[in-house]
Amino acid sequence: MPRALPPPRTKPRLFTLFAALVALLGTALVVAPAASADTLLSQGRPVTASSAESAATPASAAVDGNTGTRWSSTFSDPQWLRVDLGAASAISQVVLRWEGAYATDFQIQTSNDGGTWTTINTTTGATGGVQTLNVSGNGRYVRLYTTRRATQWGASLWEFQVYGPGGTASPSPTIPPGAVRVAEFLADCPFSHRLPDDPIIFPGLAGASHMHSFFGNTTTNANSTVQSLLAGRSNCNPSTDLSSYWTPTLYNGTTPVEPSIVTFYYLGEGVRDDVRERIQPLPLGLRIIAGNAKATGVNDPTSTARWSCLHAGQVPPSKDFVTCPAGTQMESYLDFPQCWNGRDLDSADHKSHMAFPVNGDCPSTHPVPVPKLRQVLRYPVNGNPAAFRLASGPGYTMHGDFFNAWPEAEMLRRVVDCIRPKIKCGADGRP
Amino acid sequence: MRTRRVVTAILIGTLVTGGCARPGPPAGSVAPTGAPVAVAVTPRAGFGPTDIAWVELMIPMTEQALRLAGLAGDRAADPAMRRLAGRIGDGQKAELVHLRRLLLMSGMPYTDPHQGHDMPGMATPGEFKVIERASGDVFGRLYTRTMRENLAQAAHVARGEQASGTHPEARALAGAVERSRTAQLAELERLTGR
Repeated sequence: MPRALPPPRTKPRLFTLFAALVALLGTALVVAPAASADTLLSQGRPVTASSAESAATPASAAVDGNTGTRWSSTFSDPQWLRVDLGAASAISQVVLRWEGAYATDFQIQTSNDGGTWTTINTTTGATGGVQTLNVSGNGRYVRLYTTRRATQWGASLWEFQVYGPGGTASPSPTIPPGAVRVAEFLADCPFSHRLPDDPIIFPGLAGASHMHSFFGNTTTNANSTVQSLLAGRSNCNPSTDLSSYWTPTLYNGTTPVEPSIVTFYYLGEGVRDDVRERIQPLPLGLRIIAGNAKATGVNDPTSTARWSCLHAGQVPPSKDFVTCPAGTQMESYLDFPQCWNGRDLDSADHKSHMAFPVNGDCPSTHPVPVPKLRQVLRYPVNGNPAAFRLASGPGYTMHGDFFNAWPEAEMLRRVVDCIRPKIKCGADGRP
Repeated sequence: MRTRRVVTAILIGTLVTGGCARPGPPAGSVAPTGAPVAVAVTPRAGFGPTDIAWVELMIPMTEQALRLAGLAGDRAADPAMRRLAGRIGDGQKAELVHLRRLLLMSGMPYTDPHQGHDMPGMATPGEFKVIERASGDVFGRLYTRTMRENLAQAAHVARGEQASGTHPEARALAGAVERSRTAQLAELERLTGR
């Protein structure tokens, strides 16, 4: 072996049981973290294919972690499916979970530029089912290239899974001395502007919303798209964060009050350590809403508002406004869901493409863990909150909207350097 | 604990994939156990998010204009203002029928996404109560101010639907609404001498 041996794999009794059960059940198809100590690199990653039989069988279904959805090509040879791992990665294993329409002859190829391909496996006369291919390769892109189909139908996969030792090909960051062991990076984005617009819920319709206060990207309006945000400017520290964040405007009587301290934290908390270590970057263009603008009261479970006092921790937090002592500031905390379905950047109700973790892990319907966004706003008000109101109503209607326009490389670097290794980073994404 | 999770995963895998080894119609996406998943209602083909947002906004906005016009028809001191309120009411009633039909065509349930919110161009429930209780000059002032804001905002939003909407009939109605509200606003301004 020209290269160093990998560390021994841990396959304890669990694997034996697993294999026995598979045999017992007479099925070769199983879901989820396969019997490899290596990391699943491909799930939820951007994917393209030579063709799709229909809109119901998109390429993305092959990397969504759901063995009830599949990619299927049109009915011709050759076909290909290409996954972008986001960065050059070592690859040790590829698992193909074929649907009945499988390919007998195919190659597995890697590339760093998506143009020049290196073949790391050639298979002929395959018989479908689940094929586990042990390979040795390296690249950012991994492609299945089929040259002969077994049936008159297309090439169809329930899942296409690429495993590797994990992380990028670059050395994993060493924990700097004195680093604070909290998985975090952040963006400080002051108030930018107010508009009665909402490019997520009422796209294209200026004036169709209650008043919003916008933070971060200075160009956001009803017509904003990910392209317009990327072409815009940001008032965040770091200014590389071109995302847009907005909340209902707070009024004291009829006077709008804007927060004087605005921080958006990206956190690796809320999931188990092993889940945190495979957190994926928030995909460019993702839209997330937290809280409920139509919440009906403090007992409404859909309200996730949390009002408290900065420098007055003795005041109990509430879903509605709180009375903060003189000299302190009223503050609002709001956490966004952190499990993505791996497929949709938005959904018809703007909620169902995202979910909260269950028992420290992302549910199988939303298998891709992403950083948890926590919005913290400090308002320069205190005292009796009777005259306070949000443009959406009482305090418990607090909500936040996020339109991700972090450049992909900036987001990836922070996930790899801060979130996965559990290191507290500043606005520059460094410890 | 881990073992039970793995067994569950295998069983789910078997249920999902067992007997499905045949190409043909796409396999339905089986929602496995886990967190409850919200079911999103998707509008029918041809209706984009801007169309839905516009219809859902214009229904309550038009309803409020009709209530205002109803009050002014009884209460405005100037007979010309009462006649204008009647014309606004007649025109907007027909538009409201059309808006409701579009919503029905879209397949979306009727919900007012703005209920309880402080919306541009609309009086809050508290503000509306004040108008309902007012009479004489005070009513006249409150009415013209509120109706003016309503008509101007409706015309403004109609321009957004025409620019960004995708459903031809909704966009055509938005054009008609922009023209009618602009004309009604001009009449209102003429009567109030602005």
